[in-house]
Amino acid sequence: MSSNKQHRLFREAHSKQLELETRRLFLKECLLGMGGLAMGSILGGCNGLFSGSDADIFNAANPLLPRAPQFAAKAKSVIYLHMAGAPSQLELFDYKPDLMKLDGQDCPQSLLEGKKFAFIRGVPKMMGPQAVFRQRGESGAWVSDHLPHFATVADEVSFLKAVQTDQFNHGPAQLLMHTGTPRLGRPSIGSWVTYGLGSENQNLPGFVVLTSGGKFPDAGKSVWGSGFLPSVYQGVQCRSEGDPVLFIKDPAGMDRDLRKASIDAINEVNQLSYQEFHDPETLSRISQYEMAYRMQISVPDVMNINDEPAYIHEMYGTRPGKACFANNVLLARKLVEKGVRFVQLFDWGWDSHGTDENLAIDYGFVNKCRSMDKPVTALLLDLKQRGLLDETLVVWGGEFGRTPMQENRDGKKNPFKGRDHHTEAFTIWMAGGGIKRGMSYGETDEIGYAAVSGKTTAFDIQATILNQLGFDHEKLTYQFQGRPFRLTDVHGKVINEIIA
Amino acid sequence: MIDALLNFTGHLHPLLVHLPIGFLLLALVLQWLRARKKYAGIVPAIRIAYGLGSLSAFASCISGWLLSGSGEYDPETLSLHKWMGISLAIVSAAGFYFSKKPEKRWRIIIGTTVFVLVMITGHLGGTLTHGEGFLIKGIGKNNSDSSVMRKPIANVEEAAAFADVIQPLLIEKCGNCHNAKKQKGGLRLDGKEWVLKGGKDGKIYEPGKAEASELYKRVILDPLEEKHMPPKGKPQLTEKEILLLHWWISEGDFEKKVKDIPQNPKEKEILLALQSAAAAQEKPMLPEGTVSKASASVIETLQKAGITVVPVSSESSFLSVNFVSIPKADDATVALLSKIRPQLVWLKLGYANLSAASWKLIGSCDNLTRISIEHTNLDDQSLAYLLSLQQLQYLNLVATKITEKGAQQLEKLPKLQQLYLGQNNIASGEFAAIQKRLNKVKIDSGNYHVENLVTDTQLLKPAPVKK
Ligand code: HEC
Repeated sequence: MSSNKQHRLFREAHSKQLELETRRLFLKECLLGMGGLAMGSILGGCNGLFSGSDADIFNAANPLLPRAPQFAAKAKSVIYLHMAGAPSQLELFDYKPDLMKLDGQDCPQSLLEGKKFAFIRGVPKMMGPQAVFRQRGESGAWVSDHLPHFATVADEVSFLKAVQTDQFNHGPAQLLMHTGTPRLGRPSIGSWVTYGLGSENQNLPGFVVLTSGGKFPDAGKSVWGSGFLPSVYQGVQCRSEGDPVLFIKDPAGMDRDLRKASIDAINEVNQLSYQEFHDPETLSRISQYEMAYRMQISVPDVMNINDEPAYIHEMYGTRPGKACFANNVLLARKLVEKGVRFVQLFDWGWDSHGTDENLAIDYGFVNKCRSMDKPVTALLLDLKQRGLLDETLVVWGGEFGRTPMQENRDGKKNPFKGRDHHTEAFTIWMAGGGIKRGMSYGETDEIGYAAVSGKTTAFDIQATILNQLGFDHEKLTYQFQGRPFRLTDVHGKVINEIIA
Repeated sequence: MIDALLNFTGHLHPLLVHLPIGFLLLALVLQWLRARKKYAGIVPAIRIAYGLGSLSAFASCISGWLLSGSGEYDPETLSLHKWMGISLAIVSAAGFYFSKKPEKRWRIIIGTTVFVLVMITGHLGGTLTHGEGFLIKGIGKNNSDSSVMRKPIANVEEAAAFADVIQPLLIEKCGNCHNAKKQKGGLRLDGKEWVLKGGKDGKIYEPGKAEASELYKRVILDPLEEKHMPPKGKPQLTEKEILLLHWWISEGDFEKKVKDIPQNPKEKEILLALQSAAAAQEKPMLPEGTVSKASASVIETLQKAGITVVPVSSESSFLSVNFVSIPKADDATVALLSKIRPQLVWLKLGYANLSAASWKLIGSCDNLTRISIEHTNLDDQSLAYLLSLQQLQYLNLVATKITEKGAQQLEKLPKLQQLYLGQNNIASGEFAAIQKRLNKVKIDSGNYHVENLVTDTQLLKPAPVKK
């Protein structure tokens, strides 16, 4: 064995080792990649030569500056009331007397073949409507006795009775409803709207989220996330109990002047960083600091419902000091009055499977209806008497519907009456903001299982909301990963039938 | 046989024309290099390039002339293109001749002329085949909007079936090839008379018989067939548009209104959609006419004062103004509105305490269509300042100091549609009289209540099970 040969082997091993470690080689190997990166930033970049149309709509220095919509709009703001968990259309709006005739019978095979349900297994029993229905108002809309107050304002709204989705789990279905995809990562509709319109009130965020029902929506904060849009556009979660926005108070021992001075200092540093790297997120950060500073004063003010007169509290059925849906609804009205564009309410507890008392269609569900009925009715009337209903679009609905069959979790009888998740037809209503009054669009079959006409989807609803705010949903786009993205992706059709 | 050959030669034109362009531009480059010492021997090459350029230019002229016989082109542009082409052929022949001569001046003049002619002739040729403005098509912001915007239809039943529904469709989807400048198949589709006249193969429209009309037959042909219209790769008619075309030919004529033509439910739905889509784009509550844009500096001044000022739409110069960011607006800030008097159409100015001067100023913003001045000190007297607003359609006076008498005055507002009068000094019994006076206005008297029901706060519980 010649030592020479061994020597060469060592040398080779040594140089291989060096290849892994030396900077020179690393740079050499990276040359193409670096070139590519450089090219990317020259051509595309954040504000590069070929970046798309969003360059002229996104104003990094002042991302929340109010902007004009594409066309003159009927609605200025939106209150989206999301009943998380998915309320049963069959006990509220979609009256199916024929379903009563089948009550207690085995579900026909034809309805089960090839279908998948979240919890139903084997052959479930059909379950008739567990509520008394009546026709209301001039429009003759069917509304059940679970909603005695809402029944008096049924003429104000347009019902969509054949909404469909393709997601039967809460999280993905909620994401689809609010972000246009069942997966995580896309901007929510409120973010798109603030991106498009900015914030009318310079001291308040453009997109506020309020939750109730003791639980977050399943999809978590992503349902009000900003996805790939600049993060200033994400929903600001406010609370009706305690501090309205967490971490917004001045820390103990720090007065407002000192606070201002420190924010100024931070912003100066950020400004330098921006000058060096030109990352628009830095500008967003700066304006968020400034906004937070202004919000310290304006938010507690607008979030305080105690200054509302007693008759308003009575109208909404609020419970001051508690975190509850009624308080949130009143807050929503206050926020919209103060120029907030998009107020998103999530109320958890509508998932009436029948697995326990709270989720029973004949107990917990009825109680949920009672807690929702009065505030929502009050909201419509209160907006109306303030002359705000014309310019405020109110949307009410869940993420899917519920089955005409009684749920039999894993093939066994549930302790209470309940219905499983259902994707093929459910009801959503819209009111105000240039939507027709007393309209009902879409129909389901005799037992409320499938949509038969006037089918609509989450995309159609999103397209309609954007349309009422003055946007063509196909043209509100944002350039990301080399292509323009939009809320409705390649779907969506404005529901002209319900537009006044 | 000869015909076919000539035809074939004619169709070679679009191919041939690229030869002179290439040769002549090469000749120009070589000629430019000639001045340098290093390239002194280049002269023969210049000669060859000019020679080939000139020959191919003549060939192009001949083939072009054969092609022009088909009559599908705009005659004016065509004639210009022809003469430019012929001139180019001649001038490049001169270039060939002069390239050997020592006179530098001639070479420069000819070179420049050749360049200019190549550019002009080429561009005109492009205009002939691709239509006017083909170069700049797709440049600029609205490239997705290259199709003609259809005029919105306010009331589709009252609209003219051909002029308002069918004609815009033909212009949008067929107009690029069947218009005044370009008549493929000898056909124009941009007017009633042309649809009646037909194309080179005769009539295309048989009243009452869609299936017998070339106009419809072409559209429903298998898209892969050569005769299918619009040709493969061009924007196609949608299913609904095809149904509309069928509806119009089978039941309508050129004069009928939509409502006079029978519609089945499907057709009705499509027609209605035209209207509501248009209605959705209709400008809600805007005055008629247009105004000049407010200057950017003026808008900035207002914004600096904390006033939210935005155009009502990105295309409009009308402005929407909101004082919501200002906790308590005062006369000084309101006075800034005088700078945007003509542009101001929507005003929100709630919770303010203003002097007569401010109300007067607001009353002088003639284009205002929407005013929300709820929770202000407005009373009957100051309300009088607003009575000259001829365009006003929406007036929100919630929680001001208006009385029945004040409200009665509002009959002077000719366009008023919506009026909000809640929480004023008006007794509930007085609203009937106001409504009677303002009989066309939708009045909201507010004061809504939601009844208290025992069930509102009761929790429904299952009866406890006894063990
Ligand atoms: C891209 C250009 C183009 C567009 C767009 C187009 N056409 Fe044509 N069209 C032609 C050409 C080329 C011919 C001649 C060749 C032929 O007859 O197929 C023609 C011929 C015709 C003819 C026959 C005329 C005759 O008498 O021979 C009819 C009818 C016609 N087109 C209808 C339409 C209609 C209807 C549309 C719109 C829905 C349309 N075309 C859109 C290019 C076009």
